[in-house]
Amino acid sequence: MSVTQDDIILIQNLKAGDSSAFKFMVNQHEEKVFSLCLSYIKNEEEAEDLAQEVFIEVYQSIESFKMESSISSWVYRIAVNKSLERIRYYKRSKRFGWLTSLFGKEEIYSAYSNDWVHPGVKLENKERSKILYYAIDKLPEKQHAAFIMHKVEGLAYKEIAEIMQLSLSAVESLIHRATTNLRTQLGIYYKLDNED
Amino acid sequence: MDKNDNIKKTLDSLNDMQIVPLKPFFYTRLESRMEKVSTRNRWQKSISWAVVIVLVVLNLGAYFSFNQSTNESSNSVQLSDVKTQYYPETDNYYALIEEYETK
Repeated sequence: MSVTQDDIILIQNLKAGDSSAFKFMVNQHEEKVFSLCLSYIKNEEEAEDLAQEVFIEVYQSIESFKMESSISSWVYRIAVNKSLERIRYYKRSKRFGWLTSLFGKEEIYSAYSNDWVHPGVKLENKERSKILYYAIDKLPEKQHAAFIMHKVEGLAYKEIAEIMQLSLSAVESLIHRATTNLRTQLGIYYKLDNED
Repeated sequence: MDKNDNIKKTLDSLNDMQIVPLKPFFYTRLESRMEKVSTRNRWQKSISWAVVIVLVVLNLGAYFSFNQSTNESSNSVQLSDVKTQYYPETDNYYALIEEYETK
C-alpha cells in the first residue's frame, strides 16, 4: 500500500481543506474503519462512535501527515490505536467498577463482555467464535492487534506491517505467537471442558 | 470430538465472516459531530485567551503595586537613617519628614 498518485492529489486537497475531498475519503474508508473498530470493541454503537473519532482525528491531523505510507494505512493505524486505547479504558473501568459504583456511577461500558458474538459470524460458528474471542482478549496488545487484522479483517501481512509500522517478519512472528498462545488457551479450555 | 479438532474448528470459526454494514447516513452524523467539536473548540480558545489576559493584568497589577511599596519602604529606611544620624533623641517624625523634604 505505497503512496499512489491519486493518494497524493487527495492528500493535497485534504490539506487545502477541501470538504468534498474529505467526504470522498470518508466514503472510501468508512466501512473498513467501522469493521476494524467493531472487531476490537465488540459493540456496534461504540464502534460507530469510535469510527467517527477516527475521521475527526484524520481531519484534525492531516497537516502532520507526511505521506510515508498510503492514506489507507494511516487511517487504519489511527483506527487500531484508538480501538486499543478504548479497550484499555474499558478494562480500567471494569477493574475499578466496584469503586465508581459506590459513588452511584453506572459502569461505563458493560457491553465489552465475554459473551459477544460478531454479527458477521456464520450461525454454526457462533459458540466457537465466542470462545475464540474470549481467548483473543487475553493476548498481549500487539498480538491481539495483528491477529484481528489478519484473521478477522483479512488483511495481508504486508498491509499489517505498514499499518503497525513493523517489518514483515515482525508481523509474521506476532501472528505466529498469537496463534500459538491461542492454541494453548484453547487446549486448556477444551481439556477442562472434557473433564466436566 | 478430539481436543485438537475442537481447537482447529474454533480457530477457524471466524473464517468466511460476512461484512457488518454501517448504518446509513454515517457521513451526516459525522458532519454534525464535527460541527459540535468545532464550536466547542472555539469556545475553549476564547475562554483560554480570556484567562491569559486576566492573569497578565493581575500580574502587572501585582508588579506595579509591589514596586510602589518597595519605593515607599526605601523612603522609610532613608528617613530612619536621618533620624538616627541627626536626631537620635527625638520621636517627632513630623519634624523629621519636614526636615527631609526641605533637604
